Amino acid sequence: MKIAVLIKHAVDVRSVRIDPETGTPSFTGKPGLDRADLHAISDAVDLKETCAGHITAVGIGPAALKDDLVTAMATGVDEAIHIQFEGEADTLFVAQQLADALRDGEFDVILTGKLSEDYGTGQVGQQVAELLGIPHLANVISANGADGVLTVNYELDGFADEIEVPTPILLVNGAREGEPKRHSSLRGMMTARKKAVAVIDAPDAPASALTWSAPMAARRGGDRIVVRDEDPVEAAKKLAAWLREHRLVG
Amino acid sequence: MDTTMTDRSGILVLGEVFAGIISPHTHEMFTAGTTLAEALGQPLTLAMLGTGFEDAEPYLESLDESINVVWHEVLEEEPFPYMAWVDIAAQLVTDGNWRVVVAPGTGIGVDWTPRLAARTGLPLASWSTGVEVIDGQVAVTRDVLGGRAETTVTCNADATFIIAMEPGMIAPSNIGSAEALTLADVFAEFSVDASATSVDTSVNRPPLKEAERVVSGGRGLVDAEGVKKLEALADALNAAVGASGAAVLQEILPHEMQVGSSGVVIRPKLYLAVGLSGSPQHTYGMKDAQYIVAINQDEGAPIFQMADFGVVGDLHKILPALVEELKS
Repeated sequence: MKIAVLIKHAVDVRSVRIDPETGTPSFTGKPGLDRADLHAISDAVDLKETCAGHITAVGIGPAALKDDLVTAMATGVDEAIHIQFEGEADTLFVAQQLADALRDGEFDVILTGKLSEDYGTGQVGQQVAELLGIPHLANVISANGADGVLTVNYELDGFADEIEVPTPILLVNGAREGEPKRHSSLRGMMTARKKAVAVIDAPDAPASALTWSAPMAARRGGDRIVVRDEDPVEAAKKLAAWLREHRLVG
Repeated sequence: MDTTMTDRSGILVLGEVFAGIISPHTHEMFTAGTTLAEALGQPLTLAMLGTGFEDAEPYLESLDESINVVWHEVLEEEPFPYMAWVDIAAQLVTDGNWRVVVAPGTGIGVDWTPRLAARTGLPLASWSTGVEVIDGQVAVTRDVLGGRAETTVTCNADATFIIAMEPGMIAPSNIGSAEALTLADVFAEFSVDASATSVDTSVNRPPLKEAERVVSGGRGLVDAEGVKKLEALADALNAAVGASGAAVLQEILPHEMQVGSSGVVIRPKLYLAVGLSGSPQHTYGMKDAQYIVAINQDEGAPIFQMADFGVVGDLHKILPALVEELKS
């Protein structure tokens, strides 16, 4: 089976710090693969092993996306396509560039993450499927391609269900707890760095009808005290004192 | 007058009727649609899509005459039931010259609204938590960065703006004489009652809705041991016990205690959140508390962004220590 996995370059949401004065977020960690995509890559490699498949990772984004594509290849992806694009664009523009890059690839299965951790629109996967004129299935847990038949385990109304689906199809993964099953290995990284990444230049994005304001955390007044790295008894003493000071003890 | 400008006008709400029942989310979309129609001074069209109209139709007879109602049957086909929804929604959207289309953010809505935007080439804001009109432009609020921050998305007046709402984030309003079911009503049917969990109901605690102090637990409580520690703290503070949706889903705490868009909305003097991350659905129910305290192991949990006092650490050790401190 020919498998594609779609990835994006995102900020490291887990390293976010919010300025208590302004409510502005900043990030101490390095941007990289979005967590939902790490799971999609892991799922793609699982699927590949059930059907002797071949995986192409496709991403659209800035120069730094190349590192993410290399990481994908170090995790078991066979080749990569980088659609070079700087700046902001609507999800539909992003989906159009991805669909254009995928159209002639005759992929049987395209995997994507559910919601990216940065802007989390949850739109691009479904839009790529629509533009390619193929169906999609969301909340996918795992896929198996043994004997050339695609069987998908997915969540429907809170229950896991398994169905056989036609190809080509796009699979959107479900929300996941914990770490992805597969990781890039050191040896994999060394091999992957030597592999070529195909490059496509994206056209300029048309003016968007939408304007997004800068992300801002809801601000509250008050003391905004955070106690960390403390012995539980010490932390409890500080909290109890604060509760008493504010007359919050019954 | 410039005749090349397209004068977009009218608000279209794409409502859901599942086997004769108007979905709870449709009442929320109706609120959003009416808010926009009034703010823009434009007519509202309510398209009811789905099945079993003969059961749902009588409710809408009492609807204000200014609201245009249309019915469209959606014949879902497995395994891709959303396909039929895209086809009908796309036709309705392109037949008009709408200023705004309000579409569902329900389980099936999430499947078809991005496809609707791709097919019609129109901008879509998904997971919207509120709608407003700012200087004549339509805007939505939505959470970003995993609920840690919020942003406003504004749409130019010359494009039809498709808005998909996050369920449970806006007050539902009755559509005609159809009672506005809330997600909590639906949820209650599947929920766990107090007797099925390890909650001690023999103690007389203040009622959750009226309590001055509320101590709420989340998934971090883990089990009955965690619940006991939470209850001990509640009793030391003479507080009511609350729960996050995740704690209810995992049957750690009963649904009667749930705080949030699928539970109760409260404004206590003190809200002490223990082992819960602070999802938008939960914070909807407690964000107006006077003082918020959070105890959580994950410093990145969004609840810390709204806490006046936060303790990063293990609740299973901190709660007993806090109870001791409060007794001394």
